[in-house]
Amino acid sequence: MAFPLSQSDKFKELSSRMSEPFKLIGDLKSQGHKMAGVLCTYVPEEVIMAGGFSPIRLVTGASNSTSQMHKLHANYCSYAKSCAAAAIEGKFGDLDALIGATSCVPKIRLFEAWNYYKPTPFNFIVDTPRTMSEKGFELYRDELVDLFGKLKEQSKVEAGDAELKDAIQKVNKLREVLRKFAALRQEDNIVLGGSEMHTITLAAQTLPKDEAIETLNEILDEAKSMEGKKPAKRLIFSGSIAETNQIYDMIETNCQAAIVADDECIGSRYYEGPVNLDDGASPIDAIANRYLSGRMPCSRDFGVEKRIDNIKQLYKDYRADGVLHFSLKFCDLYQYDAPVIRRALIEAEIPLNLIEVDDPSGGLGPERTRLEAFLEML
Amino acid sequence: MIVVGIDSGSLSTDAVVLDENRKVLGKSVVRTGASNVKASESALEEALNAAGIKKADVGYVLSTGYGRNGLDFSDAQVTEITCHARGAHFLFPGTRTVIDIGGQDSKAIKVSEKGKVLDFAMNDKCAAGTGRFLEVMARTLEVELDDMGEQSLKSTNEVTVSSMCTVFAESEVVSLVAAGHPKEDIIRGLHKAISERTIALASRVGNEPEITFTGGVAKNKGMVAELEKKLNVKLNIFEDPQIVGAIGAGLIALERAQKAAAAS
Repeated sequence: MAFPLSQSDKFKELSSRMSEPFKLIGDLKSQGHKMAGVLCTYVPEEVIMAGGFSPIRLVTGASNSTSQMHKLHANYCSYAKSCAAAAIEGKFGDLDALIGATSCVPKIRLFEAWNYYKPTPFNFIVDTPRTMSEKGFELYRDELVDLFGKLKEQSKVEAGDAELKDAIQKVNKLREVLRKFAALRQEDNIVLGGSEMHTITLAAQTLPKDEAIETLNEILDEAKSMEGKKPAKRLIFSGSIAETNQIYDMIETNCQAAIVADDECIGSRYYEGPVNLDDGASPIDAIANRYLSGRMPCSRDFGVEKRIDNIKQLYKDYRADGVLHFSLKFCDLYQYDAPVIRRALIEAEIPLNLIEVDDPSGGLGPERTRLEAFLEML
Repeated sequence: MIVVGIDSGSLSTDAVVLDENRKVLGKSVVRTGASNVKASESALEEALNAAGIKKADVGYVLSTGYGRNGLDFSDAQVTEITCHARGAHFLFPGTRTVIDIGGQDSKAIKVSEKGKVLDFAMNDKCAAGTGRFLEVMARTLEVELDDMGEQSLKSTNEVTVSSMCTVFAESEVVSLVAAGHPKEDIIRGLHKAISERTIALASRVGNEPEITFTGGVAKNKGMVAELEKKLNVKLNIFEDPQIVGAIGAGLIALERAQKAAAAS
């Protein structure tokens, strides 16, 4: 938390709430929300909301727990292992639903193990295609129709296109606020870095939408009136899941660099791209379209060229000095892409550093040395 | 102008005293032990004694290595990657790749003609392929660490040590001894294993000659022989390969001190 926004009282309060994810679920449940835990950005919040539930992206705080690793597989990322431990040990409390996606093998196994050992009243895994083709779109859209129907059955609500449109408008509004925060980082002097942005995007995915829109708009107004700070180096952060701010803090607090843009799961993949109702598509079609093709895909998509082009564009637009490619340990998807991205960026003469860590990780020495050595190179 | 470079690593802390002509006036290597601060202070004192210089006459101290932070007498900290590149390039201006095998990690660094870091790769996930690996095996085989290289060169038969992990390799070595394999053959097998891992690491940055080999393990003739054979090049090795990082730190210290003096 190295940038001016972290000094704001409102921001500090938000950050404090984000640091206790289990407590947040408990609080929201006691306020009467029907909580649907979400495991992946390919799970559409709008469908969940129209279906009578409150979506909440699941994170475990700084747990990095391996206590239930034997129920999964040792070669899974820290996100899967931590969620499994929290789930099976009951730390997520009484979630009313669990919605996953076929993002990757660890998440599928996590979903299965969770439902085996500690079943939620309702669970659904969205079959998500690997390539964003016409067939893929149809598969995904049909999954969403199915999900919507089953959610309504479970929550006993009557809902249709009108409710979907309401949800779409609400989430679009929220994404818009986040994009405004992101745009502030194009300046030379920045008010927020990757660490602050992480807290803000996590808040958007965990708080009830109305509250998130109100609170984040207030913080945005504050941010606009603050004096920015010039970072020593500007970096693009592209990668899998940064569950906590730890990796951002390591870069920004210790090394005086700043993440000025990201291409990461809890970050831009959440807020990039609105659901577009303008061309008269049905709400479900529009939602499916946005989630599959309306934003940068994660590495599960076979088209790595899209990621490469996006990284190059961000590097240019945000006037960066270098790129950090981040993967959690054991994240095969990101590690398969890494050599291809590396070759492309070497050709484009864009400095790149590959980081592979648990999140959070205990070994600060080697990671910090790598980051500092990379910055010394720039 | 007198400067000091300190490389505080996980196993040893090395200090080098340089004058403005980049001449090494004194040096020291001490065991880091439990306190990088105490070890750095000892290393500094020993190096200054060896140089015949008083602490008050030192113009700039730059520290590197895992223990580089938290030294109150250090004016700046730079990673050992940058320092090794600079040190190796100073000693061997044709250096385009540095392979550093230290106590607990190994690094490969791609270096420009000017001694700048172009790319690097670190192995810090596991100790197999580092000085620690050799220490453990020397103890298991009851051989002096310094003799491991010589023993390896006496080997006449191929023995393969296949375990990826230092601890499991130790068990494997015990089995090989029990099966009657001569010590020299086992030791050569261990060196082969390290060299394979090292070359895999170095290949990530391209292995462009000239290749300079630094770190304590560069004193091991057996390792040098294995690497030269596999890489098909003659390696550059400084007479005191352990202090290359500290020399690099000293050179950067000198640059910064001279810059500061010019600016005032």
